[in-house]
Amino acid sequence: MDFDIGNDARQLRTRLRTSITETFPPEFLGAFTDDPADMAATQAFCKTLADQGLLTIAWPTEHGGAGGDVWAQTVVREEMWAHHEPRGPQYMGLNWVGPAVMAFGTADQKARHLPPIAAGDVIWCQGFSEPDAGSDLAALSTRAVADGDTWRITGQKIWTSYAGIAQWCVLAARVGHGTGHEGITMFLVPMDTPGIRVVPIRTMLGPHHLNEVFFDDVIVGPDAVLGAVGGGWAVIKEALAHERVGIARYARCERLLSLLATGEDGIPDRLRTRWARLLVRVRVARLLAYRAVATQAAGGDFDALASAARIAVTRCDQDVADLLGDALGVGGLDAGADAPLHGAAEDHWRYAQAATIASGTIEVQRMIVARDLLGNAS
Amino acid sequence: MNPLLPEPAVAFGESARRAFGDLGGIDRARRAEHDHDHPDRAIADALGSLGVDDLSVTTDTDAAAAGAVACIEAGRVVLPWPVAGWLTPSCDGSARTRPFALVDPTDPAVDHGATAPRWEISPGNGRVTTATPGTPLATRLGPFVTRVTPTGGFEPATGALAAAAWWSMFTSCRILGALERALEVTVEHTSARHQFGRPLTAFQTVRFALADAKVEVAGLRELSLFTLWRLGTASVPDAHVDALALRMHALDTARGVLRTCRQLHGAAGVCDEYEIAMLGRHLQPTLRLPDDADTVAVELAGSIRVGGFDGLFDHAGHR
Ligand SMILES: Cc1cc2nc3c(=O)[nH]c(=O)nc-3n(C[C@H](O)[C@H](O)[C@H](O)COP(=O)(O)OP(=O)(O)OC[C@H]3O[C@@H](n4cnc5c(N)ncnc54)[C@H](O)[C@@H]3O)c2cc1C
Repeated sequence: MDFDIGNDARQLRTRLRTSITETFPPEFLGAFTDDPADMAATQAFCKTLADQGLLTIAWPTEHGGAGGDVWAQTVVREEMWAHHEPRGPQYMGLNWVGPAVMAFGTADQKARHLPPIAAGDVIWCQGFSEPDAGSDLAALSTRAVADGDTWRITGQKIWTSYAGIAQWCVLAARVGHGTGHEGITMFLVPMDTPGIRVVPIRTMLGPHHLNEVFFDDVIVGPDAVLGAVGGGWAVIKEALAHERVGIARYARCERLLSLLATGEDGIPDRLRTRWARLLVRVRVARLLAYRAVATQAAGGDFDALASAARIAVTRCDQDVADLLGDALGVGGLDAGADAPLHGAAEDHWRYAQAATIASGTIEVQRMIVARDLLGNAS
Repeated sequence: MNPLLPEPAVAFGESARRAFGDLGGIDRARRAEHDHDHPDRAIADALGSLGVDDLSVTTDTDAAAAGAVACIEAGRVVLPWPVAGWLTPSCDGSARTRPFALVDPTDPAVDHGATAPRWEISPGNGRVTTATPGTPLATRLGPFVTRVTPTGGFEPATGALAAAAWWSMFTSCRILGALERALEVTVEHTSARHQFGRPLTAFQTVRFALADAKVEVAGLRELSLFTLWRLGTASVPDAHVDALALRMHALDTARGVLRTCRQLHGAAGVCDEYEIAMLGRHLQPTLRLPDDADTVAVELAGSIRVGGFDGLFDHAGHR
């Protein structure tokens, strides 16, 4: 047993951290702020990372990556999320769309889609959820009908992150009249295809984060199908599992706890014990994530482990948000470069409220952990 | 023993609910967010017509109850107005000419600051001063919060401790109203929304979460009414302890209940179109200003050591 992440990973961490702090000012809070320059900066940073060979450091060499191991991947995720995801919305393509194309795509699809992701040139969005298919994702009713060798897609998606700025969408639609997982098929759809309409949703998150997407007789070719027709559920499962460990929320929590403690006013005395407890819980969440990663790397079944890590980390997110608010008073309500922590407390509180919902609610994660725990007994 | 709100206060609450509904209900808060620089005269007029300005809360128990109910109703729509600040009795017994608020003296700030040119502020230690508001933060969590600049040092004032207690009670009532509404909309949402072929309320986890939230909110209502009664009957130091206890409990309750209600909405819980997101967001300043539950708890424990805590046993002088 050895919990040391290793020299290579450590050096990578230093390199990434240097690159981020050299590129972004300390008040950077991610791509989804009221300042459009932030989004542009993340796009440029992806190009820089790509040029330095860091964007796909963890991808296999045959797909243009540097073949880094899972711990290199982990370090990338940690440093990016800790520093407000300077890759902006592109993390989606890097974290799971690319790997899903590698796993399920044809040679042509790989050749077409992987290079632009690796070059930092493309934003992907995930069209899974629908108005009537949230937790019960398998109830989705967006329909794809074969028409000669093309497909006609009609339906509605909701809560689609980044849809307004994405060039491509991984869309889950149903072929045929089956129910449940039956007939669910994944399509790779260019967002500028005629018949697609994106309507932003006003939320407490940043502007244009969440959207409704309407598909009205959208026509795509046979090359749009990812994996087998009717085989979409396997892709979804893989995508969601990647997503659940893919966002290293604990890293941001730990950084914010550290910034609070080393900031101008430090930790107020009354909150010291809560701060210390949270620091330990954040470590536990990180270790649970490492367990899921290690199990996945060893080829084991890591579904329930990913969900356990996700439950732990999303709770940390909310409790850290509350602690920061308690510590900073009116400063925790304030945003902008002059606010305490440059407004990171206000930002973190808003996003933390969504943490127990996105990528499957905490209740859904509990179902997965319970199913695994109870096995046949359930 | 009669734990019921007096009839006139109940009737007053019904009128207030109608009046706030006529103002647009929660849409008033939505709209105000895009126009936070301008005091909303229509709200002032509606409160005037209701008679909120004429409630003499220290001399008339029905009026005090009506004031509490007005704050509860204001909380249900997160009315963008400092109702509690105006209801708080003035330090010298005269009619209030500017709203009151407790502040953190190291960084004084008030919610809805721009609705009045001048405020009366206190750190809660028996001292007060006046202050002028700056411009609103206009952030998502503090749309109407303004920092305030004191016009002089904090000076001792006879009624300042009592004022602090009343303000804490009234702002806790605002929290109570918002939480009661949050639970209502969550019951509506989970009853109407179907997943897995059933309404969400068919799932026991959802029912248990709703039940726990209900117990929390019901408990906060009881403590609010008890504290309202104590403010009219107990000595100022005793009432002060009780007001601290209520504020601390309101803050703790709000955190849990809002989390549950937001969670049960799924992604809709962060979406401005849904009442729950507005309630949770616009209530943040009331939950954070002037201080957090841990600060209040430390102060409460100290106050209990000196003056005790009403109950079935002694608690003063604890070590
Ligand atoms: C920030 C954010 C980003 C997102 N990005 C995307 C995206 O890019 N693409 C995409 O497709 N989707 C996205 N989503 C949508 C997300 O996947 C869904 O919100 C989530 O799956 C929950 O669905 P719902 O919102 O419809 O909630 P519902 O399913 O309506 O759930 C409401 C509540 O009921 C609970 N519940 C439901 N069923 C049960 C049950 N059987 N037992 C107990 N409790 C239950 C839920 O846990 C929840 O608390 C995003 C969501 C958020 C918040």
